[in-house]
Amino acid sequence: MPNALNIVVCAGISPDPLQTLEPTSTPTGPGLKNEMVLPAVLDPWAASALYEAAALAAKNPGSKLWLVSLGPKAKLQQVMMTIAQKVLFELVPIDGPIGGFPDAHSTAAAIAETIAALPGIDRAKLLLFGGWESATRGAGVTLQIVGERLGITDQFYGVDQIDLRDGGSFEVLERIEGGRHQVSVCAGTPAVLGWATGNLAEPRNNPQVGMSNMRTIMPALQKAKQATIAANGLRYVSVSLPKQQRTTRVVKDLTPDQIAAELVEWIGAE
Amino acid sequence: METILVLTHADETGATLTKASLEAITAGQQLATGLSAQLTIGIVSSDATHLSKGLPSARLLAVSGEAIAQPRYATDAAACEAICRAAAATIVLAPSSSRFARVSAGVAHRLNGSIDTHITNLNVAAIGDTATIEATRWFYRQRIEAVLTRDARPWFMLLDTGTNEPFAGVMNTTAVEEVKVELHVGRTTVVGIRAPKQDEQTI
Repeated sequence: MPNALNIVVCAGISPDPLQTLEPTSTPTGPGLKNEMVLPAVLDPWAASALYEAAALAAKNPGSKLWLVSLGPKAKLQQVMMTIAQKVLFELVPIDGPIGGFPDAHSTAAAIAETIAALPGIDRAKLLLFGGWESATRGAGVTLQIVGERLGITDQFYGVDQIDLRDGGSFEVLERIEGGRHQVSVCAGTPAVLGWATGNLAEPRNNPQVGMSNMRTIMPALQKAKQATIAANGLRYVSVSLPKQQRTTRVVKDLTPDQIAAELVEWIGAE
Repeated sequence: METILVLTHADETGATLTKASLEAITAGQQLATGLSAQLTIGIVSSDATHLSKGLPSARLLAVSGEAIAQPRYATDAAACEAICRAAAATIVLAPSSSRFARVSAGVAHRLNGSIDTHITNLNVAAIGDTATIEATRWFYRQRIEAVLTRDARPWFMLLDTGTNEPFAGVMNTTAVEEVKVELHVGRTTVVGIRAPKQDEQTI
């Protein structure tokens, strides 16, 4: 098994994108109104990372896949009901706060500590996966700090493709400016890959995979360690919804050419 | 008193600084003026000697060499770390380019600092006798806007492109100070750029 990998996917949970979000104040800082009752999903880019990881593990026999997720246990359980049916993994839950407002540095510390303590993990064969940004904080820093804390200095972000080669080296496509990809070759594991969308479709729900996963997910959730996420000197001055800007003008009897000319003039001025 | 460092890098040709870097310099200048702070500009480029022309009067630090001609985590992080240590900066501004977004959080961690990214606005607010930096950024994919501040230093902030005018000002006569750092190319090699075909159907 020359390419047997230890893949750890870091994935948070975020509110369903169709939900209306309203900021509110909580005793621990800003949060979302009714956050605990909003339907949640696995963070979209991190979900891409999970599907890519599962495909990679399937192609390389002997590989192992962990899903490390920080969030309130009840929300994690709700999200796992769906995600567990997609691909085979071992859940490593961390009981902690939900949302994008807690500090990324403290979050990364809790995740790195958990990964370092995973029983049976071979750090020389480690591929640390996650989304390049979350749909909550959207900062793109947590995975990088986790990588640093684990001493990994081969890191790639905005990844859309990984091709593992014989001998353990791999080629990575990272998104860069101008809709292009930077192509890099890394000599081998360990490495950190922050995924963009990748190339794989969302796997279909497979009830058998779900049942197999749930046998380990429920005990893991019960044993989830609680993480305290310190503010690390971060203070919010204000948290608000963006102000709507609408300047409507009622105009009659303009020809299509006049409307087009006005639009061109307006776009030019912008 | 704050010391402000603006990290910049050359474009793919290596001949000029990127537009986003020049925008970060504008933001750095404004912040330095607001805080009456010292401004330092750091340049990451294979050859920084000709890049200092056209920059504002400030201390200029550079890490140069063939090893950082290619954007990659190991070398870029080491270069940025060396510049930050040489500048002893408390505030580090950098453009949200793919190159700096790849390494800035790691560098902030190495320096025991903090980082916030996708900053769209910087403001200096006076709280009593103390001037505080307030940064604006989006959360939940541009659905919630927050203004935040941090006590921890150094504080790294990655500025979104298009939020400041690119710097275009007086010519600089300051010499570039080369920061010595051992850059290990490591295990990653950049082999090229892949661009979609002009006529490629994306739908």
